[in-house]
Amino acid sequence: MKAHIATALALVCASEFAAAGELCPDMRAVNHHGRLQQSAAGTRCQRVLRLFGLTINLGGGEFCPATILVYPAHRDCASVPNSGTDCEVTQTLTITRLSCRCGPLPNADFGIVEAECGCTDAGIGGYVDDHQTIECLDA
Amino acid sequence: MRKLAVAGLVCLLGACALVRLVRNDSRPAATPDGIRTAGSTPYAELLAANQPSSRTVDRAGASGSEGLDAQHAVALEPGLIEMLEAVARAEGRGNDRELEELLTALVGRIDRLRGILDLLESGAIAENHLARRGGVATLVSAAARWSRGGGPPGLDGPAFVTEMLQRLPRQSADDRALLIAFLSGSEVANSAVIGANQLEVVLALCQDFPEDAALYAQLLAGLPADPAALEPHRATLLAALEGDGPPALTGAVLRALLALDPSAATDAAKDLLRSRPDDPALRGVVAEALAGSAQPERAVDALLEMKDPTQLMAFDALGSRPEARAVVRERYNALLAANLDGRGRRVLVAAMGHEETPVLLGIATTDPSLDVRQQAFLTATVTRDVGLEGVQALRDAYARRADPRNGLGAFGAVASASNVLIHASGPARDEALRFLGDIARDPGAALPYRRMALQKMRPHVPPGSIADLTGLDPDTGDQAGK
Repeated sequence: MKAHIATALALVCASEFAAAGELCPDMRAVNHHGRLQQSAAGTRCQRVLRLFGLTINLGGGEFCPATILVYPAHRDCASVPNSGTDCEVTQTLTITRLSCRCGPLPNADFGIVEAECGCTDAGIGGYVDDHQTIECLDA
Repeated sequence: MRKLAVAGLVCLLGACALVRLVRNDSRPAATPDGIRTAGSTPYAELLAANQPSSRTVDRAGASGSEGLDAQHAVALEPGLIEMLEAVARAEGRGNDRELEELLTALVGRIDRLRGILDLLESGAIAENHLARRGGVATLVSAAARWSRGGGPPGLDGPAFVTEMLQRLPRQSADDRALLIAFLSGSEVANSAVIGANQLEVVLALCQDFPEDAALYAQLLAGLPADPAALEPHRATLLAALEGDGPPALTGAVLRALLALDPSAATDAAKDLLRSRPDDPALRGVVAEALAGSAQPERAVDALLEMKDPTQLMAFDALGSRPEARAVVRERYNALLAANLDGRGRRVLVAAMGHEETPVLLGIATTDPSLDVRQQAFLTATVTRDVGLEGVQALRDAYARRADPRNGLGAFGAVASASNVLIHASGPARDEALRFLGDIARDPGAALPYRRMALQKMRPHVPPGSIADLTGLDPDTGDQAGK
């Protein structure tokens, strides 16, 4: 909560905030790597074989998640202590959604063919604020 | 994993020479002695079970990897390798009749199945990709055939599947990955081949071979949400959740526990989040599992407690549950009425992907928090065609951008308008393009978002129509229009 308030204050009146030395929150921005997150929901792109009188969904194809989220590398302000500094928002970054599904089986004369999992840009679903560390001014 | 699977498939195309799979050097350090073998047959017995008159293949020098002593040789049934090659060829040709004949002959004899396991483990056919592929296909077919009961003479089917799983660590890394990929995706009559009856074995593999736990966890992808099937494994599941396993394992275990005991599972999930607060991948799978499987009220509570409005996968899972939508709506209204917890409201709005467009546009116009309004526009535009009305709402909100009570900044406007380009067509899409052009040319907007507007519209407009914006490109170092 402290970090939240400080961040909000920094956004609104950074200079006045920094000038009030006793209110310096003594924290800094922290790096976070960009990452992908696959949904647990999805399908495997695979063939179906009928054997022994049963329909056997013989797997082995790649897992094709319904959605992949692309989180950007960014710095957040997560209450990491650092004397004499605060962090402020520099820009807003996008969290992009990819929508994925198995494509059609490719034509082939021989060999095992497998549909590929293809993903397309589904748009921007959310956002993260990118922060930087700034020095608090002495009162 | 994808590469391994694809490599295995490509081999069948007769292009094995083009794909040199990683040799057995990458086997795990654990020895067969380290494997939990309760209920399985010791390896020496497995060797003895093979026909003594058959020709043998000395594994020494075949793979150069650790595992069996060089003095052990795989007793091999004459013609077995050729049969496996024939399986691969039949599968590759899509000749189901021939494949069925071959597999029927192979999976109906325990000595053959164990011979295939021995052969793969020995490394003796490490360079014979056709035989390896045929071996994997045969073993997976046997698992599909026998996992739910029955078995050839002398073999308890489910016990053989257990044995196959327990012997996975002895396989080369490639064969192990391929077997797991096949087993984890295999179903018979809409029921996963690896189900609750193999749960203990898979969890033991994850525990004993933590370096491959993420791989073994894939085997749990088909766990049923059937409390009766899961009940005997309650203690094991809870214990697995307390460990520091990979996110994929945690997610699978948590989903099973949520089906078995939602209350205990939710509490355990919260404990997990508290104990590993700086693990974003873990937070993601836990949030998604809770959102998708916990009781709606508990799921909403847990997501609000996380206070992380970027858990979009979880919000999707929550919003996709019809029974959860009313809970999300009620919580939002309650927080809004009290003007509380803007971050929580943003979380809830992110889970409103199934709400009607007017509801989301209403929130985007009226919520007192800019973050919430921005999320409402994004949630609406990323999930549907909001039409001309939606684009006009964006324009109106951007026109009020100086007003913190109901305006929308350049970022939210550009991001939402770019979503319209993807999900809308006709006049709404054209209007979104014009809107992006206006923001790109707006000298009052921050440069990163003007550039973002240009980047989003560039693929959809003639170059000449944006010639005046060339200076916005980062590599020019110029700030056109500034």
